[in-house]
Order: sequence, then C-alpha cells, then structure tokens
Amino acid sequence: MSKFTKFLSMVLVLVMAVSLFVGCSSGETTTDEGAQGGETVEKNKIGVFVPLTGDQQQYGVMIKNAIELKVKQYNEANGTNYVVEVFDDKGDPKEAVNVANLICSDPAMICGMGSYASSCVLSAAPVFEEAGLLLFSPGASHVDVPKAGNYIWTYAQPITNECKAMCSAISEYTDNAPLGVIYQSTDHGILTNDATVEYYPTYGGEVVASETFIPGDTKDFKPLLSKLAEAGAETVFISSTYSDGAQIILQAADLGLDFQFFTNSQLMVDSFPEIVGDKADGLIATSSLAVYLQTTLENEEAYNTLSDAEKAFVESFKEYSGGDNPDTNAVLAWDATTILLDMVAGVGTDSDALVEALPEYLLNAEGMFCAKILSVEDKVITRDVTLYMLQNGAFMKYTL
Amino acid sequence: MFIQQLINGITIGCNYALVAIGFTMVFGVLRLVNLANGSIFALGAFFTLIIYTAMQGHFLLSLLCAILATAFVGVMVDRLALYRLRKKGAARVSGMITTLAIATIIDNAVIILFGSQTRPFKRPKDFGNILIGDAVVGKLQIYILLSILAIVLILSYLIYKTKLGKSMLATAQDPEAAMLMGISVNRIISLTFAISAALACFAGSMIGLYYQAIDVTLGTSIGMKTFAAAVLGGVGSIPGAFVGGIVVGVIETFVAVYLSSGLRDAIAFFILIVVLLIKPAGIFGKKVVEKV
Repeated sequence: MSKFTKFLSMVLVLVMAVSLFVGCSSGETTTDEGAQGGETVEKNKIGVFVPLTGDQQQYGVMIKNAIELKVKQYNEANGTNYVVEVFDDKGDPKEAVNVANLICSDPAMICGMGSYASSCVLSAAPVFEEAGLLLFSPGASHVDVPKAGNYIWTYAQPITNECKAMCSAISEYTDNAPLGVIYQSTDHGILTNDATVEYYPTYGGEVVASETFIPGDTKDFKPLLSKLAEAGAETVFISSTYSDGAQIILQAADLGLDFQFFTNSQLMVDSFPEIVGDKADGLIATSSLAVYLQTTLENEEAYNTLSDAEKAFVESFKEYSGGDNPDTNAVLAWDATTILLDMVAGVGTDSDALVEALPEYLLNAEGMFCAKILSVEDKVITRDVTLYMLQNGAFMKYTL
Repeated sequence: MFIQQLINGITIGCNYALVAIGFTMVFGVLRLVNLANGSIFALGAFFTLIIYTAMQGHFLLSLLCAILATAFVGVMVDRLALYRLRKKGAARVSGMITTLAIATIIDNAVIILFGSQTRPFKRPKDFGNILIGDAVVGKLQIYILLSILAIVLILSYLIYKTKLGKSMLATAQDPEAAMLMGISVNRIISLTFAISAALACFAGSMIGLYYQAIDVTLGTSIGMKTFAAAVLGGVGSIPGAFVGGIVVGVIETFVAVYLSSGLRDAIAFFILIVVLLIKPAGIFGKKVVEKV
C-alpha cells in the first residue's frame, strides 16, 4: 500500500468516525420536518403525563386513552408515525416534576400533554418553561396555569369563566333569586365560591350565604342547608363531587327544602342520578364540555341531539377503552390532541412556532366536541357553555 | 332552627354513640385501642346494602344477616390477628398497630369487592316527616333514635345485670383472676369483638339508610369522631360512650350552624384535646392508678 493510499484510508476512517460521532450526538439538532430539515432525530413523540396509579387513576386513564386513540386514528388516516409516550405522575406534583424532566430530556418530543390535576401542571411547568418545550394541558382549569410560562397552555377554560356563565344563567332563570352557595373546601371549590360571590351581584342578584365543607369527611349537610334556608336562599349553587352533591340534594329533600339547585359539570356523571333518583329532577348544570353519559346515551331524545362525528367518537372510544364512555377529561384530551396534530401539520414541531400558532388554531378549530372557543386573551380561553337539565335521570340540553 | 339542629345533632350523635360503645367495650376488656372499628362500621353498611339488594327489599332480614356476618368478621379479627399477640404477651401498642393494619386491609377489601364509588342505599319506603314547631323531623330519625336507645338499654342490662356481663367485667378487671374463676377469657374477648362489630354494622346501616348512600370513606370520617366520643365519655364506660357520642354529634352540628361550617369536622379533635387536658378520664371515667 502506497503512502498516499494509507493517508487516504486514514482520512476516510477519520471522516467516518467524525460523522458517526455527529450522528450519535445529534440530540440537540433535532429534525423538524416542517421547518428545519436535514437533522437525524425525528421529532415525533407526544409526552403524556397522567395519573395511572392512585385515587386519580380513572381520570388519567381517560386522558391517556383519548390521546392514544386520536393519534392512532390520525396516523392511520395520514400515514404519519406519531408516537404517544405515557408517563405515570401518580397525581402527585413532586412526581410530575420527575416526569417532566424525562419528557424534556427526550429530543424526539414535540410537546408534553397532561396532567389531570392543575397542581401537577403547575409543578411541571417550570421544567417545560426552562426547556422551551410546549406543555399543552387538556384539562387544567386553575387560573394560574396560563400564567405559569410562555410555553404553558391549557385547553380548559378557567373555573372563574365558567362561574361567570353559571351566574348569568342563574340570574336569568330565577330572575335574580337570593342565592346560597355550598362548596367543597378545595382549590376548585374556593375559587368557584369566590367567583360566584363576585359575579352574581354583577347580574343583579345577591349571594345571601356561602357554606363550605370538607369533602370525604362531611356527611351531614343538614345544618348547612338549614343555614342557607334561614339566610333566605331560594336558589342553591353546589360546587362538589357527585357523591357530596347527591347527599346535599337528598338531605334537602329530607328537610322539605324546595331549593332550585344549580351546579357545574362536576355532578354530570352517571352515578349521580343513580343515587338521587328523581329527587334532583329540575337541577340545572352548566358545562363548556361535551357530556356523554350512559344515562344520556340511552335516552333516545338526548342521543339524537349528537352529531354523527360525536356518535362515531363515542363508539370508537368505547371500543378502545373496553366499554367505558368518554368522560369530560377524555373529550378535552381528544380535542386538544386534534388541535395539536393539526398545528404540527401546519407549522411543524418547533415549540416557539407552536406557541405562536396556538391562539389562531384554538379560535378556528373545527369539529371540536367541546363548546366553541369565543376568545383567547393572555392565553386564557373563554368558551361558550351549554345548559343541561336533569330530567328523569338524564341530563338533557336545555335552553333558557 | 334550634330544635331542628338539636334533633339532627342527636340523630348523628346516636350513631356515633353506638360505634363508640363498641370501641369502649373492646378497650374496657382488652385495654386495646381498636383502630379498625371505623372500617368495620363501613364494612357492615356494605354488607347490609349488598344483602338488601340481593334480597330485593327485605330490609330487616338483610340487616340481621349483615349484623351476623360483621360480628363474624369481628371475631375473626380477634382470632386471626390479636389472639396470637395476646398469647405471646406482646405489648399493647403492637395490638393497636395491628388494628391499624386490619383497618387498611378491610378498607382495601371493601374497594376491591364493592368498588370505590358512592353506592345508593335506597330506603325500603318513604317514611315521611312530622313537624315539631317549625322543625321538620323525619320519622326515620325517630325510628333510628328509638332503636339505638333500645339497643343501649339491652346492652347495659346484658353487661351490668347478667352473668355473661359480669364475666366481661371480670375479664376487663383482671383476665388472669377471671380465668382462675372458670371464665373462658378468650371466648369473652371474642364475644366482645362480635358485639362491637355488630353495633358498628347496625350504626353503619342506619347511617346508610339516613343518608341514602354509602362509600368507602364512611368509616374514616366516623373513626376519629367515635374515638373522641369515647374519650369524652370516659373510655371503658358504656353510658359515657353513649353520652359522649350524642355530645359530639350535637356540638358539631351547632358549630356548623352557629360558628362555621368549615370547623364542624375539626371540633371532634378539639373536644379530644380539651378532654385530655382537663379531665383525661372523661365524664364517666374513673381515675385508674396503675400499680407498679
């Protein structure tokens, strides 16, 4: 072998070694098919973090199934290969930080989606913000979520906005009857009560009493109900879980109190009418989310109000999740994933581009199952609400 | 509103009293703080509901079957978990920790067997209400009060007036001496657990009937309140547990109405602390001097 051949061989080996090294360490130069091109790691993962163990597991599974199903159907229809990688945050804010670090350290991640609880989103937010990776939460409704960083977005509207719509409905339906509030002593309950106390008077009504309770501990609501009656309340707004809400209504019936009850989407679960029977007939609930309860689906009149797309979604979800109907978390996750995938197809996988495009995509989203988004101001979503009335054990859409 | 709240408080308090009596009986005989009492309370309520659903409407028969089943669980708690500890002369704190473990096992078994969701507990019929002044009192409330009062009277007669009761008191006073007098101490202890569990089942079923729904957290919320009730009345005293239960029920109802609804579930702990500071032996309790 001549000296030139030796030299050439060594140069070639060096070039190959360098190129191999560059290929292996290409995590920082990820491919963005739509925008950058030319790099070796393809960004095709969606990092989903939800509680898959613990007492919030049922909600986490709903979110996971909806995102997986949407991505699966999208891949089949468009020939793409997006991958959903699911992490268990156990519903624990500390664990959410660990999981966020795992997602943000993977260069193939397009964005993070999660979690069920706002507290987990808020604790994971600084990690995503520092990494410059979009965190698009399907359902975190705490008012602080949109303020948590430039890359932190939520598809849910804040509790306060929904309360505003509820106060408007109560005012219109009852002609500003004196209102009492019963709320659980949680972040959600306290914010709901504060917003109700603030907004109801703006529509001309008066909140005559607000009573709180500890969810899980308080079983006897009769003293609270008597207090509301004593204060002159004719209408009562309940902010609680379905089991406590059912107790409140049953115990009011026991006391012979004939309140007109209002609530938000928290009571809109199949178990609620099972417990209260016909004693909650006439209850009005507001929801900005689509509700597909078994009791409603079995009701021919209610089922016929669904669009073909909704019927197809419910059927495919039931098939994918082994017979479970999609709950509100699943619907939020489905819609949010639809918007995300459309957006990626439009602007690519770069988080800055996604963040810039999000308001427009949120406002112009087509075929969503949740109510239409009316505005996106300072990252805060306001959407229409739908009224439902409980009649013969089924939540029926209701117009004032 | 005062009378209304008083009656509501007494109704809740009577249920606390029944569970507290079971708790105090076990403590009286074994000097054991039975932390599984609340869980057995919830289990009993679930037994009644399941049997009642299966029997399609025979409530009293379902209740009787559930009481027997829960009493059996109570006996098993003693025989499978606590008997060996007694036999080995383990410290009392070991027994208490064991009951905590049993509580966890029962709670999880209830979730596995019956699910974690709230279950409707339909009343056999609509009992209706009566008016006392402005107060609306459910006839069911009156039935619950009367039945619990009857149970307490029967139990008091059983313990203070019969040979069986004297055996229990003797076992409570000095197990070794009781054994020398021919009393089957282990049988008496098992019987005490059976009665305690049966009372918890009855109270749990009444609570289910009263609230028309039960869930797995039923026992957790009542556990500490009945503990406070027993301490207030004097641990080991049956009349004390009864009075303590009613006082806790009435006070928490009045606190919710006249102070703050947010404080009602904390009041049991406040009572517990005050009693321990001012009169550790409770209202009916006697100061015990331990000989060393």
